[in-house]
Amino acid sequence: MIFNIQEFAVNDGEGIRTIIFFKGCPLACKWCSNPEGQSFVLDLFHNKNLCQKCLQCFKSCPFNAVSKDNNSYPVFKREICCRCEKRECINNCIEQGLKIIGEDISAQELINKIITNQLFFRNSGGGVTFSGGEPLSQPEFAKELLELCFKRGISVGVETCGLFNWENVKNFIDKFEFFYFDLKCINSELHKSFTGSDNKIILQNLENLYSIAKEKITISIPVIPCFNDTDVIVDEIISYCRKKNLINTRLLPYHNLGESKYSAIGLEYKMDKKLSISDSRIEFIKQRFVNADINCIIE
Amino acid sequence: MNSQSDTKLFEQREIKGNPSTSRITSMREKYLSEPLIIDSEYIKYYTEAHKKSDGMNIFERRAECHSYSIENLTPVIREYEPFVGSKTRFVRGAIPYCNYASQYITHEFRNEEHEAQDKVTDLGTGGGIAKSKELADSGEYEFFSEKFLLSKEDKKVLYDCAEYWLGKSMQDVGDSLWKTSFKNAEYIEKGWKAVLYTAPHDPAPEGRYVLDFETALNDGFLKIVERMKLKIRDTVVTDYKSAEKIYFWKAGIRVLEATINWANNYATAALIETERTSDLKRKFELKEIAERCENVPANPPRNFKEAVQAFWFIYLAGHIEGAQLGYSPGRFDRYMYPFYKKDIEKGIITNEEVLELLEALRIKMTEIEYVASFSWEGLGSGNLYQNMILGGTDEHGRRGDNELSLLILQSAINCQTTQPTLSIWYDDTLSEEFLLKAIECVKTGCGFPAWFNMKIYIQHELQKTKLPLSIIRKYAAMGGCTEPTLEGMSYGIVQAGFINHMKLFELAMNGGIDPRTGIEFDKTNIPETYDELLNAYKFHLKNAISNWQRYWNYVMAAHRQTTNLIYSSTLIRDCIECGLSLDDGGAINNSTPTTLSTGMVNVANSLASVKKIIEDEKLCTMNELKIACSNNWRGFEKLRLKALQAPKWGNNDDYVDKIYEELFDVYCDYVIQNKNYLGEPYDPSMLAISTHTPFGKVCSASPDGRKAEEPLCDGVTSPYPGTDLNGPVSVLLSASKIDHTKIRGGLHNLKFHPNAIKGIQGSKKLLALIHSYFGYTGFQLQFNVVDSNMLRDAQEYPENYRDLIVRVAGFSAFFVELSKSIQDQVIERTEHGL
Repeated sequence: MIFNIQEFAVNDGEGIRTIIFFKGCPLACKWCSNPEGQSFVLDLFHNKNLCQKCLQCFKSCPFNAVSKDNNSYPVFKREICCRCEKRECINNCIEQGLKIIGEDISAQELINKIITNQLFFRNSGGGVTFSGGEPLSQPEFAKELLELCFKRGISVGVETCGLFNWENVKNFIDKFEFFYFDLKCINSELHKSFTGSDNKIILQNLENLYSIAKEKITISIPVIPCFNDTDVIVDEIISYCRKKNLINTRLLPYHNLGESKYSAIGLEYKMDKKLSISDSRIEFIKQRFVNADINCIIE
Repeated sequence: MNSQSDTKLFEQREIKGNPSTSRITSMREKYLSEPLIIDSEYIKYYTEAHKKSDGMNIFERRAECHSYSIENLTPVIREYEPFVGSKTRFVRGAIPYCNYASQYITHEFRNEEHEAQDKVTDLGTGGGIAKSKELADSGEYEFFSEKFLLSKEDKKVLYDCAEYWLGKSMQDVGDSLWKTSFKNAEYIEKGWKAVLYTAPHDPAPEGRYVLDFETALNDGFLKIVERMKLKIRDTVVTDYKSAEKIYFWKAGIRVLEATINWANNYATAALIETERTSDLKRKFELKEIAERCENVPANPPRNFKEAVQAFWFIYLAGHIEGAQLGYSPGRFDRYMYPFYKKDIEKGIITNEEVLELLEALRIKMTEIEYVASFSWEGLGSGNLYQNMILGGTDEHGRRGDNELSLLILQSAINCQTTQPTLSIWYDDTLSEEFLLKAIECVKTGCGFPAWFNMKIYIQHELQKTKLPLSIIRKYAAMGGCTEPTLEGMSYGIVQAGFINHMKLFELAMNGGIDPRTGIEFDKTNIPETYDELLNAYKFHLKNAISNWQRYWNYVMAAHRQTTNLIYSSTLIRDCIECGLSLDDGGAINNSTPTTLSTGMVNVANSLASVKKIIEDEKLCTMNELKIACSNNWRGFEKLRLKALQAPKWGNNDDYVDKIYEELFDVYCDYVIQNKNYLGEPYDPSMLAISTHTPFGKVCSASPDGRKAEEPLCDGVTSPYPGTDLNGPVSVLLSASKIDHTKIRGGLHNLKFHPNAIKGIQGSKKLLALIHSYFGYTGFQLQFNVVDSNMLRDAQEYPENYRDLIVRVAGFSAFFVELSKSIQDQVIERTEHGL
């Protein structure tokens, strides 16, 4: 299942790339800017800015899954909505404020779309990037799509959070042209508190990957205030990279552009809204990497 | 992902330039602080000469009137100018060409409504226009056409001239011809009332061509005069045709000699100025200017500085002769390069000096204003569409960019003005340095250069003309906003104006009756099915095109009688050789006139909606859909939702793209069925300038979900704002489905957030995008690289954004001088990259 296809992507690899966003992720990072990519099932997305509180959704729902809150905005029983096939609420929303996030699409259908962009890939040295969610959480689908691309000479890269079952991917993972591998922090407890999971498997997967594709790995470090932007934590990452000889890194500075999406899919944004990270701090962190002889870019 | 911080209101443009010298800064500041003014001087002399020349042959009379006027114009030399020559006495002056049309002027004086279209026209109110208004309110001046100042003295002159030209102007002579003898005259007048057509553009019909600067510069006017004298000597009059040739050459000689005199007047003025100034450096410079004005354009320029002065005189004289829109300098980087190269090699000029001259040229070209009917000023957003095109290839297909091309791009980065708009003839041979410099210019947010696929235009001309490939390569240029032309050998008076496709669709839906005005055009059956609707649309399209084209041929006949361009004829090949003026077919390429239209994307989207809703899903009948549209969707909100969800152009979806392809092909076929005044088939073209706003305003809601009065799509292939959901690649894939070699001209807007193409990597991605689109059959791309939030801020605080330039259609404009509705359009275009 995917939840978006983005053309002319900016910071996700060489050239003009089409990003396929896989739906579902084993982590639940608090700062995630694509919360609609976290769950492995469909999400109902309600755009409050468009909502005129006409409550057509409330009136048309055959399962009584819609109620009203104190301000007369609709509230959805999402465990019902994610399985609903009628979608009367969407069909009746004249402001187009409701939509379903997530699409079951076959790899064959996807490749048919992707190849229409081939000339753009060829002229720019671009291709496809799998992102998400966690693409490697859908190993069979990822494998099928990867091979369809590979057969047609289209480059495929992957952005991964690192948490996946190595056994399921080991027979095809080397076909990716590059890896953006997330490394959020080294301390396992801290990792768990901010992402919902410890990082044992992640670090193991990174070592496995390193043994077969070391030149293709770029470590992606989301720099999150009040989590991993301190000197101590940054230094831990740097010394880990040095020790493992991981010499390509990129920093992804925290932003809160995904915030409004949380409430739209019925989740709560748990980051402190006042947090931000300054350009100078990011530059400082980058310099620490560079001083340790590690290539580092800021996206 | 991106790194935008939440504290910033909006992202700044990545590249911001500054004038390279303090002189240019002063010139630009002066320009930005000036109001728009009407200058009656030229038309006063022109009218005087006309009164005295009754009975003369038409060529000679036209030449005499213009020559007398240009010889008497006040030569104005402004404080900082490195070269001289001004169309009017004012920095932002406009000539009211009563000889073309005076009705709109007398109507303005009498406070009468001029055209039906006026009611749906918006003009800008900011910038220099605000300045005009402020001064008008102070009482010294009057406010003219909601934009210009008019002094009491000029008003009297203009009033008398306008009255004199009633019945004699090109428009009046034309009207009395076609209104009495064209059998479908009534259709045209209905078309104006219903705004099926744009209002008559007789007040400013000229333009869309490029003079033969190469010959004019390299030979000098005296040599060209000599050529005409020899022609006269060697011709024996045997019939009226050979006699007409003599008259034409005599007229040509008169005009070129007058132009030399006009330049000499500047020499005298510069010398007088020398006495006045105490600044020694300026004294010396003025002396040099005087020497140059004595030498050019009579003789070939002796160095680059003189070549710039010569170019300016040659160019400006053509601008004065006719009411021009889209009159352009062409491939400046080709024909000026030899002068540049020689001086650089000799070490007598530096790149810094060249850059300053080029920056000054930008300001001089931006200073020119025009006054036309209210409707046309709204349509054109006051722009003159002077288009300088760079790059391309030489006659052998080798790369055409050079060091001068780079400096021209740099001058546009440094000195941000709206004119001339820059374009790139894209070819794979162009150097990377040049292409990246062009992208750098795009990143200033000014909207140019626009990118044109040279290969497509070459294929177009090869199919149409019998000219050799080498000639097409060398002289391919841009005449006007997005219409290519062959430099120095084409006639440009192109078209009757624009056709409103959405209005035709309404006629098809309503049996030939315009729902807004109740005017009945050709009767057709009320359609019940998709096929019936499509056929009715085609029927109305065919009639509208053919009537429009034929009407214009009558106007052209009047043009020959009254405003035939003599000066331009002497500088377009092969007029002198054949002894024929432009209006008699003297140009090598006479297949240039085009037929223009706007809004086809809305029609394709509407047809797709009808097909989806009525044929596939059977949600309602055609009649119900029609009622929904006429109620502006009130009470039919659910149906509108379905209409909005139907496939839309710009998403690489064949369901609707195939419909668009069919419409496009049909349009092109209909256009070439009629011949223009010079006996060649009309050329199809599609663009918008600012017509999509008034055209949309007169149309009720449409089946694509658009609400009543909302603007139509701009350009040929640009999607309707907000309906392209898959990103720029899909948009371009849709656009590349039509055969662009069939049309001459066309444009496609893309808007990027500055972050989307940041840095050198971003530049390369944008280049790859252009390269790929042009790898298909794409013809044109232009970009606005600006954060929409910044434009919203500029709407709120215009005073902070006096010099902000954006791309509108085939031109760029100062944002604050645009009408509110056009500003909104630019903001609403889908922004790619976040």
